[in-house]
Amino acid sequence: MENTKKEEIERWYDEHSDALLKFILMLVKDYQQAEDLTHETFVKAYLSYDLFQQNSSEKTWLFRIAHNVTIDYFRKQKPTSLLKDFLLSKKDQDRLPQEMIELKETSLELYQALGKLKDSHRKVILLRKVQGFSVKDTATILGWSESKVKSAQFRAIPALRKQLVKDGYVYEETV
Amino acid sequence: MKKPFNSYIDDSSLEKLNEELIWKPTRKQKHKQRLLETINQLESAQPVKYKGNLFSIKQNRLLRNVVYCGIALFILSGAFISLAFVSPAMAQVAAKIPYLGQLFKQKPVSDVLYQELEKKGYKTASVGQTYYGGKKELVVSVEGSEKYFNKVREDITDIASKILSKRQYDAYTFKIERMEPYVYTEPNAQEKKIEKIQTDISTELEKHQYKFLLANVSFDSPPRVELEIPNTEKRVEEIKAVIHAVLAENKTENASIKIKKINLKKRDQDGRWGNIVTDVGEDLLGKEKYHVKMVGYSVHPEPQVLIYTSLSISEDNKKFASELEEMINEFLETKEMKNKVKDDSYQVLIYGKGKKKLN
Repeated sequence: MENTKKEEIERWYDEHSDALLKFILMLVKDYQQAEDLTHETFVKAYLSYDLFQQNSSEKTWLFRIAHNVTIDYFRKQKPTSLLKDFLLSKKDQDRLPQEMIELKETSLELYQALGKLKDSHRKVILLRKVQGFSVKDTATILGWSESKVKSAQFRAIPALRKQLVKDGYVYEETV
Repeated sequence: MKKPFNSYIDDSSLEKLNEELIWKPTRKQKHKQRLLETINQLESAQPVKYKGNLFSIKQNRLLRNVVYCGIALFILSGAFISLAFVSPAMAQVAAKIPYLGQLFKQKPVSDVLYQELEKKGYKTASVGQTYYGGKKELVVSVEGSEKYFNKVREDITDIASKILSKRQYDAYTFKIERMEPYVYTEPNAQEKKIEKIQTDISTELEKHQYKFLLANVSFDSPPRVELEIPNTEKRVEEIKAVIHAVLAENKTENASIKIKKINLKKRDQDGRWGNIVTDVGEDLLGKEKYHVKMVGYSVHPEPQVLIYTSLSISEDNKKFASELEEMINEFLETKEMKNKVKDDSYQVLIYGKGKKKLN
């Protein structure tokens, strides 16, 4: 049984670790931390494997764990959060370390703009638009109601556009 | 000056972001390895599970604590060696290499701390030793309100520091955290249905005196029943027919049935070696001077004790490893450990940096 569990976690890792890392990275904006939290997500999945009730897909379940793991991480960081936010936002301006993460030029603006959105807007865009989860699954992952997901999404896309304008990346239509 | 953005912000540009952000395969692989090592550690720390405690829908308190802490727990693991006495052979071992002598007389440090805190009346939900990501921590989870946590935090930290220091366990850092009290939630309709099917399967199999170890039902797509049986039980088709009948009665005949045969001797061996490695690792992991990062074991094909150190490959370190191997062998041959080792033949493998063998 133990081997089966380990093999199953290994399979989940092969299939979902990329997506989870990207999700976590865009929440914490710190690539090394994102790798550690991705690791933590899978360890927790392993430990609570027997509690996986399979009402949702394994991917949704893993994302829910990842979301909780990042919330815990931020909670622990709370006392220094102001300073940290400042430092991380500075770090975010830099390119990602090529030996760890690669991001093509064409998506760099979006990545940076997403990083500046408020938390709820960023999460809903990442889950609904970047990862392609349904409203129901997004609600499960975030622990929100479905109507909250819908209303956050409704506001999030214009907020992203506004951020891109602010950063000077938006396409200006010529008359 | 405004720079042009390449495309209109729509779903495709966000999907493209997902495609264009790449986690380097070498990093991913490295972290996969790290995960598998952590799982090996956790597996070696977990007791073997038998019939009667594994219907997956039931949340058990110990597991909840493990989940919360993300650590391997050693509480009341059955690996106590405190009542054992030091034999003449052991005394000889102890003279050469003190830590094995010490560990032989000592309980795991987390047990000691747990009992001490319980004695003093603290609401401790769990105490665990963790070797998570190469970092060794002694972790206490305190159950109760934020106010209670703030009140006892300093005292518990003080007690833990004293216990660590008394044992000279300088490799550990101490961590204390608050745990929300457990709130029981009623199972939903699906959970109740799963529980009913599991109970029906157990009842029917027991009624017909079929031997089985575990029955697990899941409603994931496709729904399935997983059953573990001893490999001595040969009536597989009959067992399947019984399960089919139960599924039909519960209107879930579309569920598949997977039967796994378990070699009980091997499983017993696995459990014993898990405990043995806990004994061997207690002191080795606690003290910086031994440079032990992790201990593990495997029983496939035959038992192996695995000691992972941070030592580089040098003649001196190879000599250290061979002495360590000899001492562990002597320790495992003592009368007290013989009960756990039984007649198993085994190997002790000691690794240095980069997983290169030192002995």
